Amino acid sequence: MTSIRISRRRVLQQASALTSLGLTIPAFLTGTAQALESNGRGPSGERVLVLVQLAGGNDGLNTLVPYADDIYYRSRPKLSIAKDDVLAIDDYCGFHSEMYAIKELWDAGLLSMVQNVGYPNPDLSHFRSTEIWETGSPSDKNWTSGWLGRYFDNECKGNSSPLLALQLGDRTAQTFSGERQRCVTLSNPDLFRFSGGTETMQDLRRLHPENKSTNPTLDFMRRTGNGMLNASQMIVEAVKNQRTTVDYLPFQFSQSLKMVAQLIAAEVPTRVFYVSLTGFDHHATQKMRHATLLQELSEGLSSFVRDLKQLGHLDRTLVMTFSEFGRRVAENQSEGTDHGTANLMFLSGGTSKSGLHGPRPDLAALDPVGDLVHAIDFRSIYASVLKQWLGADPQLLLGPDVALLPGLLS
Amino acid sequence: MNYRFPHVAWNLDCAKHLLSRTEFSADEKRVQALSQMSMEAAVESILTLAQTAPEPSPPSWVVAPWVNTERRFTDTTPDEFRKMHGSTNGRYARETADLRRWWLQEMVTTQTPLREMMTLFWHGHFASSIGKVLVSQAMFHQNEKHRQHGVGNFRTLLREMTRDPAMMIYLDLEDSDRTKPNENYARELYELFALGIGNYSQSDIMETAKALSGLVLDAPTGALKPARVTTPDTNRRFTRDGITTRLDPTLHDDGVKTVLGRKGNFGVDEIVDIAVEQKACGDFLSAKLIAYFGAVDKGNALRDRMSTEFRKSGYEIGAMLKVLFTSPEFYSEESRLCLIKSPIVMVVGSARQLSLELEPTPGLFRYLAALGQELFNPPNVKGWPGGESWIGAGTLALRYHFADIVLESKEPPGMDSMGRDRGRPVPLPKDPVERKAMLDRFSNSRGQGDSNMMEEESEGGSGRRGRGPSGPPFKVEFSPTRLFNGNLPESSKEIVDGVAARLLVSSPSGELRTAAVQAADRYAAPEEKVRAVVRLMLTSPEYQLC
Repeated sequence: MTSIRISRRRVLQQASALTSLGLTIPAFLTGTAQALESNGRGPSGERVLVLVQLAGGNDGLNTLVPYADDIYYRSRPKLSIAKDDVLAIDDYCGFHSEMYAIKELWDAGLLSMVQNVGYPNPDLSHFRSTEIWETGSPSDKNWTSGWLGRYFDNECKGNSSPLLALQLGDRTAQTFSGERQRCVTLSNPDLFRFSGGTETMQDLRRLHPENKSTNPTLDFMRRTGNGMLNASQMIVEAVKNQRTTVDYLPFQFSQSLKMVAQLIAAEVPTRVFYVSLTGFDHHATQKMRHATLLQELSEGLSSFVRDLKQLGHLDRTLVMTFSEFGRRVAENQSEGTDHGTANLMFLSGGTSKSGLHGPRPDLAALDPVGDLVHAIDFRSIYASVLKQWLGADPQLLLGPDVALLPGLLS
Repeated sequence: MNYRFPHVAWNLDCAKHLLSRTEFSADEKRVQALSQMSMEAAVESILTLAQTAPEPSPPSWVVAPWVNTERRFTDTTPDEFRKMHGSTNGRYARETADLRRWWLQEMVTTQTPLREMMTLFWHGHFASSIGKVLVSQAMFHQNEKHRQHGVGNFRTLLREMTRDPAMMIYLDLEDSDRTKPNENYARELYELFALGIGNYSQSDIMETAKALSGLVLDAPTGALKPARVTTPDTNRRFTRDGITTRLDPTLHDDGVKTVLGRKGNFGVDEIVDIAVEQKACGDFLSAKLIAYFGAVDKGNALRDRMSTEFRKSGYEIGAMLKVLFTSPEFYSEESRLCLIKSPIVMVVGSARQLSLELEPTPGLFRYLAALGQELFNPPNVKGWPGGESWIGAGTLALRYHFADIVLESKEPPGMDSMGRDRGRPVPLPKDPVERKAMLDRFSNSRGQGDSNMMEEESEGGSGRRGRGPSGPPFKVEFSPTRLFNGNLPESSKEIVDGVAARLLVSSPSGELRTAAVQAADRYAAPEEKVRAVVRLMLTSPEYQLC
């Protein structure tokens, strides 16, 4: 694969850059070089997962609009998207009018969608439902560790990368909660700029000698400090030097994805990236704000996927969106929607199979409160990602009763 | 207390170690004073102070009785509802932010810091989160109880927590009745609050849930309630008439229950009694306190002594602490400089050690949240595990940037979101020319990247989103002269020794000292030397430890 050859070159470039600063090459970097060289890698070799959280509860019905269903229009006299405005993908449904960028991705066969995703006994509280999605827990259990936190604890013990997961945001998602802190969370890469230039960096290095002392806690701090300084080099360099091939919107979400694309292309040793787009909790006057968010989601994802494809890294990157719940089918009296249940997930890249997965939400068979009844348990999607993309054991990480979703990933 | 205190060679070092662990940071004068007492008297003095000092006055917005300002009835119009719900959300966010400010202010200025360290301990132990509780005043009342009973009687504290409104909301005890007893609190009572895993069975949980059924939150007894109808299945937050706890006998399962080998018509009080009487309770709490205060206890000898005194004293927390703070284990070599400071301890400790003029601004709380410790919002019901879990590449970088906050009252790099301000929440035109025109009209400054634009005041707004009202994110003032009480030394070496004595628990390593002297040597003026040394020490791994 071309990408392996490029990555060797990149790693050696980075290694020599560090050596020229008078720094020793950290063991994990040379380890990574070796791992990248071997063709006999396991299924999780150099693969990357990018999670895109749509925080607040995205309204799936106005994202992928069932324009052929009368019930939709009767339930949403003010909020429904007019049939003529919908970007149809078949004779039943299509995208919200502002999602033309995503429509292009769809037409190019680069988008996968799973409809009607939820879980039994849905909880309509942001707090609890987000916790359920982040922990991957059945809704009658109260797990506190994150589904990827458990993945790191169980499957990535030998991996010493200081950047195993990277989250763009201001505090670490519960998704990564585990025995150790493996996720670096930052609002922007400036986190790793230490004022004072090389003087400061030299001082910092001096304060973190690598030899062992008699104090194991001090040793731990020094090791982590060194890892942090190495991570900082990588990130600052990638953001400065790694080119991108497409335009990104100048706002937070798209700029975050741009940075993720740069880091992926620069092959930093990160397995999971996590980005959030917030603001989906529209209890009132939803129309304009949701349209704006969907447009940003659509253009952000589209730029990201096309960029990775052109940079030659889409095959090793799986992107997945998720949201803590959907919205109620009927609009409320404030021109918004209340919390709902089943929802839509987007996937792209990696071994995802493009197309529409899962049965249509049945607007005629709602639950007693007026919410959709899910058909696909989100845990089966997690299970598929864990097993087929990351080469991990889903039964171990999600419980014995979880099954994969056939046809989602190859 | 009839306890034989083991021998500890009590000296200045020991006093400094004790105060570093119990008072956010060690104050020189207090170290001197305590080292001149006997160890027992020193420990007794800090415990007594924590137990008897007057409590801080509540924030101004705490009212009695609490009133539900988003009380929804069947005849409430959608317009009315939207207004009251929106304004209540806003008020809860402001009050939560103020509650944080109030508590941090107390931590920084209190003459009895051990009491606040214990309040913080209980906050993490009996965890509840504003994200689910939503009612700011309930979080205040919970904090009040953590303080009132923090170095008091554990049986009383456990009983108060079981009936605490915030806790009842957080762990679903509010909706637990005889027909469907909710097991959430019962499970955490045993697993996380009193006994620890392995010391109870699923049956104990189920029976306990029955015993705890029937507690409700309501207006105070005798209060007049409006005679309006409430639609069934309306969300709880809109139907409460108050946050006063009472037992509704019609909802309570008053039958016989079997819990941990005991049988009877148990209610809250009996369950609490049974729980604290278990040997596992003393063992469990002792182990947690040993971990919180950073002692190394090989073979559980210390734990066992603490647990014994806990039981003998009738479940006094102070008794456990007295054993802990007078133990050879606590002062052993292994127990020194081995505790990673929590974000709160780092910030509050620094403020105290460096004589900072520090205003608890919203920016400071964003910083603390980014470090992983947002007051009133623990990550989950387990609270904050502490220790190495505080430290990863990202949080360590952020801790090192603390120097910017201390020395320049400046927001650390990397806290601003990426990208530009969204401006109005309007989709961009599809046409590239029109689109460019619209983008150019937006502000050009490197923005807040604030998609707060998109959100109305939504629930769970713990006051952490967005910039908030005007004012700089940090208001911190550091004065080298003030630090040295007016007697600023001139030489780099003296300055290094002076700063190290204040900032570090033990003398700096050769490497750290050399680096500090070199940093000081880059400047001529003593004030600049002090700043350079403080900056360097704040970015050392040693500083993160106590």
